[in-house]
Amino acid sequence: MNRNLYKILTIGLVISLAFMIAGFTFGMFNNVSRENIFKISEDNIKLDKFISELKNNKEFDPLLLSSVGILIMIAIPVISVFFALTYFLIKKNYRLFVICIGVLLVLILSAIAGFLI
Amino acid sequence: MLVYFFLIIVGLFAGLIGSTIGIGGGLLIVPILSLAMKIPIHAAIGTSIVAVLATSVASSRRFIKKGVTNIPLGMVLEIPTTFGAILGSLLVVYIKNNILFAIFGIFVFAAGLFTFLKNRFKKPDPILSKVINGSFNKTSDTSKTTEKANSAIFDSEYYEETLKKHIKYHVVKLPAGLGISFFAGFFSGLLGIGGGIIKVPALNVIMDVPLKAATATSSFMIGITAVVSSIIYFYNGYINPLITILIVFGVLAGSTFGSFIAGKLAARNIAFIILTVFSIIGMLMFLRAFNILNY
Repeated sequence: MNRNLYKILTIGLVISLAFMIAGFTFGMFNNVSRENIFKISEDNIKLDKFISELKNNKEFDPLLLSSVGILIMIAIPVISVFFALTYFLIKKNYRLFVICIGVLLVLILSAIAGFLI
Repeated sequence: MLVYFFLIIVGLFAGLIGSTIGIGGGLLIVPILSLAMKIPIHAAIGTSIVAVLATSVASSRRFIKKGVTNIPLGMVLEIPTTFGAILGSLLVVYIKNNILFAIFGIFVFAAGLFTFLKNRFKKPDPILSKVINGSFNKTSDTSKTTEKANSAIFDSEYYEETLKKHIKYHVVKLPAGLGISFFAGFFSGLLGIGGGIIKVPALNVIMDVPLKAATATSSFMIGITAVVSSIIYFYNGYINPLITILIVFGVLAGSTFGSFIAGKLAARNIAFIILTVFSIIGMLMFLRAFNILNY
């Protein structure tokens, strides 16, 4: 379990950082939001805006690439919980399997809570 | 361009100091971004929580590879922790800036005082000493035996490199640990910190988990807790991609370097520095809360 979990965390970290570096590098060349990086409320990418831009934006936006990197970073621990859950199920350790389900449910609850406010 | 460089330096400094004195970088990132760089505190907290997440993923990898992390215990403690984090993160949306500055000021000062005392009177891990002496969890009390059976699935072991032996330990007082975890999650969500400063002592002193395993388990938990807050901050647009990635790069580099030099510094010498730095930060945050420090 430990070895596979280590691999998941490492691969996730590398992919996430690669997206972040790529977004930052392209942003440097494209001069994206360089003057406005401290404008928080208007310029930041909210999730709904992020998804619509991802679907509709024909022009390449380095900020979106960086945001994808951040989202992958956020997803890494969730994937590790999924992995633990599967591992405990295979090992027929139902008590720990239920605990992992509980953690996942609370994570889903947080996503719903974030969406509702 | 200078701003980019400064953001990386902020992350580097926070990661270096954080890992050297054994706290996360969040306690330093938020004050520096909000006070020195005039970034709104909500956005500073959003940035900090992603940096905390990245640090947790990077550091917990090493512990997991060595088999030190108690994953079952981390998972069960994560349930109240994530509930606390949801509550803390939701509260941030409704709390005014000056109140957040005041809460942060108090927390930073308390954390500084705690870290000072811990370093000033540093002694060997008492749980590890008990394990080695064989006086660990010896009980004939039947009620304790029942409790022991209930928490047996969280018992674990790891290889202690410094002693060159396997350390087996039994987890006690699970309900107390669950309660404290809720508060750790709450402060993590509210202030954008990892919460390790609460979790590690709780695991070690209250739940009898050896310090190394407590640190590893806390590090693993912090990543999952930070997910909750990050999702809520992301939804509300408090995470600026450019600021965040630069801070993340800095923090990752700083914490890697900091963990190398951590063991080489005398604990008593850095204790006074910690107290001084944290007192100043706490005071500045407090002054900002009451608009005395305004610009």
